[in-house]
Amino acid sequence: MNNLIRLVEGEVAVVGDDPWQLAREPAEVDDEGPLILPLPLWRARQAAAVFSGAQPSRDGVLLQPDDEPEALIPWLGVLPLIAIDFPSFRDGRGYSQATCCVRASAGGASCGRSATCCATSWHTCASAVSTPSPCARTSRWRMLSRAWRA
Amino acid sequence: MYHYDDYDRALVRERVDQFRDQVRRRMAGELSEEEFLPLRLQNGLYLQKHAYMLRVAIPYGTLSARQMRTLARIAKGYDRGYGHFTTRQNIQFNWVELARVPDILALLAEVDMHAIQTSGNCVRNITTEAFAGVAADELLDPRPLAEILRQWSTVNPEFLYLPRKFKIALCSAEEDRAAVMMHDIGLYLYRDEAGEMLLRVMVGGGLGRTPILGQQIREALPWRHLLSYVEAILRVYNRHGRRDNKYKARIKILVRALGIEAFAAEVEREWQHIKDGPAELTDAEFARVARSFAPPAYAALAETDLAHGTRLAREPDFARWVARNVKAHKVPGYASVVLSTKPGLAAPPGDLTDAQMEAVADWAERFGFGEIRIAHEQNLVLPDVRRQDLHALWSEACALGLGTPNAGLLTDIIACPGGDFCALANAKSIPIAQAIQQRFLDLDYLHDLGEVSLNISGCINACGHHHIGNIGILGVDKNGSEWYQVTLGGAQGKASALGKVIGPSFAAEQVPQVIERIVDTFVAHREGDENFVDTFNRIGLEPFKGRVYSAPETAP
Repeated sequence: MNNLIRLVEGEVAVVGDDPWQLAREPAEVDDEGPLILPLPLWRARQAAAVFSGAQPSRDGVLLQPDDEPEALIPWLGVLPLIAIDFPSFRDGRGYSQATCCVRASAGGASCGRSATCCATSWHTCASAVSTPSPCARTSRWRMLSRAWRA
Repeated sequence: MYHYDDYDRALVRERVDQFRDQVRRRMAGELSEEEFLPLRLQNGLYLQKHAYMLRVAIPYGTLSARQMRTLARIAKGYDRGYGHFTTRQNIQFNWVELARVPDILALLAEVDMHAIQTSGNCVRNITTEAFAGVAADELLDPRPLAEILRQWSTVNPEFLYLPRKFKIALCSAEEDRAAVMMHDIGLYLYRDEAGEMLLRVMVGGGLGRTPILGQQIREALPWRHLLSYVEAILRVYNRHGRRDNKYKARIKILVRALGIEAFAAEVEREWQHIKDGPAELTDAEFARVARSFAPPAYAALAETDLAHGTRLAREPDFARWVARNVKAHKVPGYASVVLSTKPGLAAPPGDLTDAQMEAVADWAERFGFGEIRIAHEQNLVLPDVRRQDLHALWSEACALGLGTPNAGLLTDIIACPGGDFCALANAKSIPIAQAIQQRFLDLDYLHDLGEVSLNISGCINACGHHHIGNIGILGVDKNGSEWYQVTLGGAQGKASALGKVIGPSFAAEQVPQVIERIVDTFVAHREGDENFVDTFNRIGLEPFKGRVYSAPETAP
């Protein structure tokens, strides 16, 4: 993915070592690298052991604006990555989807390891990693001012 | 008043720098207008009919004298010598130049002000009533919670790209002067018998092309859950509100489509996840914010002032102004003063010149504690004036055109800028307001009529709140010419109601006569000192309709 911004030791950094390939259509699917796939494509490629939770998936899922984040809850333990799609940056549904994903992955101790959230455009990072609340105000505002500089 | 801390200040300054760079890139042609549009809207900058318009946020309508002087400086140096106060307690500058907007924002930042979230599909300025903290009928001071909401909603990353704009109002007095029922979320703050602060939450109100009054979604919500509950409402709306049609994108449409019970159930489900999380407010956080709103050092004064009483008896003009524009204060010997921005022909409703702004700042310091409020009726309020100073203030206000004794009367017209400025308007508002004000110059007659609200919007977006005026006037377009639709019976406050359309619309020149006939009908049917809206509710639309459309010269 281009322009992937990640928190590295607490600082925002553009990471160039990103192996993930985004495939929106079946034709874009190749078996080279780890893939990010829309939910129907992701389902079609998984082995039964992934669905049963016995084996981690190699592929991340692309959550699109009309998708329900709750649909991912059964697989939070096996998903290596959840990407949030922003086809238009003026459509802010992805921010609430991100909040729901973070909450589900943090809250479900039984899920094993928690999924990583990232997004398909840079300005979503602030949403995916911050908790907007007065108690978290300091960190939220710091995060934002960094995101703006980026 | 709340004063910025280092975080607020750093955030606003960085935003100015960022926008300065965006403006530079736009002017250098590196950004197209299409790319620039969402960036400027996030900084309150609209492109109007003749020029850019900058809308500056005035959180819950509270300004310091110092901030008012900065607004005066901007009006004088960067606009054409005036600014326009809006029904959402903000100020708009109508003639700004793009290249100078970053400098204006830098000036504002120096006095803890900005234009962030005054436009766009986000949570807008949090509003409350102009008499917060001083009104005699106040139950609780709504400002600490309004400020907490302001901090929470300002650049809250999850809710900056909602389906549509989102307005929240808060009030806590016997009378609702914040029009909470016409907001996306309306909050009414009160105490129960045990002294606990509770909130009644209304959702889905709004005017515009589909006027709907808010419905109660929750009663007796403990104040600690204010943010988590508002967050739950916003999350449900952000995820499920319509985005395919901007005219059906407000939360009121979602609430109506689902029904209030189903919507409330969705919110409840979301709220259960977060209600005991980090958004739960603590006593310490409330106390931290509430300290900013501690009462000023009021003097111990007698409730009655002999000299004041004598002046009232001797000077009928002064007495008339006191009767209309001076409001009861919770501290003996003090009063709150409404400075009317509706003098008639001299100025459009809500407009103040830079000289008037300077004077208001001076009065706030000399006669009060340096604070000014903006009322949603577009008037200014000095919240803490000693009763003994009222006469001196009145004399100076009259000399500067701010002493019109018409608060709450027919000529205290709420009007949007209309077709003279606004690119969206179907028709002009200001000349209509002025023509009506000209028709009712006789102050004795005006005062005898009692309270009548008259609200004018230049288009269906309803910035002039025409639906909730006792008399509402809406500019409509008919084959390219400007016409006006009249509604009657609208009301704000606890008995909020939406006006009913009287019939076919009128040409601009007919409007003053139509209003006169409506008023004549009221006078003919009025019982005792009845207010207009009570007479209307008793006799209904028909007598008004009959009178207005009876004579051939007014038939459209």
